[in-house]
Amino acid sequence: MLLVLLINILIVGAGYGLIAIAFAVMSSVSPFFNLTLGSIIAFGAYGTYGLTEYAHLPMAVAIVISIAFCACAAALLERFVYTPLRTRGASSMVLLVASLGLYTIFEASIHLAFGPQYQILGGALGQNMNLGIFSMPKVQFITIVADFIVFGLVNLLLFHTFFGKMVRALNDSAKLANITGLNNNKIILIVSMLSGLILGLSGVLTGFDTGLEPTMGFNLLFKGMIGAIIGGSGSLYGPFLGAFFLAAAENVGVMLWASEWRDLVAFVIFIIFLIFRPQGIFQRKEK
Amino acid sequence: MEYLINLGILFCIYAMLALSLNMVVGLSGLVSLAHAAFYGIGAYAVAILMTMHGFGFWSSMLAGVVLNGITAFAVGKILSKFKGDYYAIVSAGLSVIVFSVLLNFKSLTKGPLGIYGIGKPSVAGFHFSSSLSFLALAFVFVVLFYALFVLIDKSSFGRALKGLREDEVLTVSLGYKTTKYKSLIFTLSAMMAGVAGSFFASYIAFIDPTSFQLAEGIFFFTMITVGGLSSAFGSVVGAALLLILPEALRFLGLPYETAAQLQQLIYGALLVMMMAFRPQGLFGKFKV
Repeated sequence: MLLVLLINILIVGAGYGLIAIAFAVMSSVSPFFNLTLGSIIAFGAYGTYGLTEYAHLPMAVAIVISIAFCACAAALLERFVYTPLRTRGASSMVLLVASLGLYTIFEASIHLAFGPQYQILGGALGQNMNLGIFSMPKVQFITIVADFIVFGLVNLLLFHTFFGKMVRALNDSAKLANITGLNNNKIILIVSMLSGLILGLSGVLTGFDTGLEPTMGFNLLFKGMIGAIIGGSGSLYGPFLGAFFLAAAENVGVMLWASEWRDLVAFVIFIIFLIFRPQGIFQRKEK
Repeated sequence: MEYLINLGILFCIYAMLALSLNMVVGLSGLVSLAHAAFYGIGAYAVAILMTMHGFGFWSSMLAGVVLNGITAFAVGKILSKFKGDYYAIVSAGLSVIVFSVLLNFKSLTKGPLGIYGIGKPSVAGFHFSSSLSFLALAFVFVVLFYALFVLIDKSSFGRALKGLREDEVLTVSLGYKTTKYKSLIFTLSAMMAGVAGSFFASYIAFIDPTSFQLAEGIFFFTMITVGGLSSAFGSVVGAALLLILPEALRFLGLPYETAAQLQQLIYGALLVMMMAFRPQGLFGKFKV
């Protein structure tokens, strides 16, 4: 029983973790609630679905193309929507509402193109694999591994390379970074491509695991966002562990009551954290 | 003719929602996406009390409005700790919580099955069962809400709200208890949304939780963002515009599902355009 709970937490938390990391990285250079990040998740899943189902491409090729598309989409949105709005002095509220509008457009477009019905990416990844004492679908195992790898790589990039130093400088003060000669827009573009890659990957994995529907991005993004915020910013451990914390709370809630209350538990935890510990679990500094 | 009356009643309900939401978002600068929650509580109060407990329309509506007042007072206390985009996100979270309760607290709300057979109001023996009389009744409330908006806008209370919207620290330093003002306007707005919900439940006669999702709250927010923030006239125009636009699509003869998504697409595009070119809306006096 306990083992099942722990494995569930690991699976769900890894799924949220990917999104939490992407959200945290993105908002470190472009600090607002960017709802189109949710659309990117859906792009990854539906891109793969469309390319295999309608263009009959091999699965691996479809996955690579759609994740690359996600990276480009994230960069294009940043370059042609958010950066221009920001240079015109738009508040983070205006950016949030603009991203809400864009999210609505993308969701409706996916709906129109693929229909409202629930779909799932088929193939070998959905099959079960045996891990000795228990078995789980391959895709869930891959999700867990991917979460740890992405965490490791992004952590390396942000805290042990020169590029990471530039990103953190921009995060501290965009103005100062610019004065000292950093090309802010270029850094933001690269970071958005990176977060697009991670989100696209998470979309593809979700497509194999729980399936796709046009609204999938919104819920997932919110979970990742909650994970990132309750984890705390400042280091990558925050979003990574925060996602597992959220998954743990949700799964315990589901075990105690019923699975319908999953979202309610997540949002209650989110609000409790924002009130009593807005800096998150892993940040000591007061904000 | 019946079609036009139907449209008129929906317009009245949307106008009530837009006017009440604009008091919070426009007058006070608090971007709340939780309006659908209060709309839903009002609707469900009427639905549950009328169909299961034999209450009349007005007493159920009153119960819903009072319940909304209490809920909003508590929720407002939580929300008052946040500002700007955090306020918006937390209010969205609260909306999800209320939707989740409406959907899953099946012993009370019947969950996704919804509640049907909700009756119409009556006053002194007159039963508002014809659409035209219902329209007239709803319109009376729109006029009342409009007047209330203008009254608050012009009052010292309204000036304090606008003050805290523009510069909260300064307003506090002038001796205004801004937390109290914020809580008061939020509660009032939620109670008004409850009235709109009651009318909706009674008119449609069947409600289920999907009418009170976060997406609905975002739709109400779109109405006032397009019409104009902090303006009573703008609220009404926004409600009318966003109601008529999809109706126009209906004449293209598209299948229902396609038309519904096309409508979402247009709403999204409107929001983006407004943010890019006119963040205060058509007749607005305040930019988010």
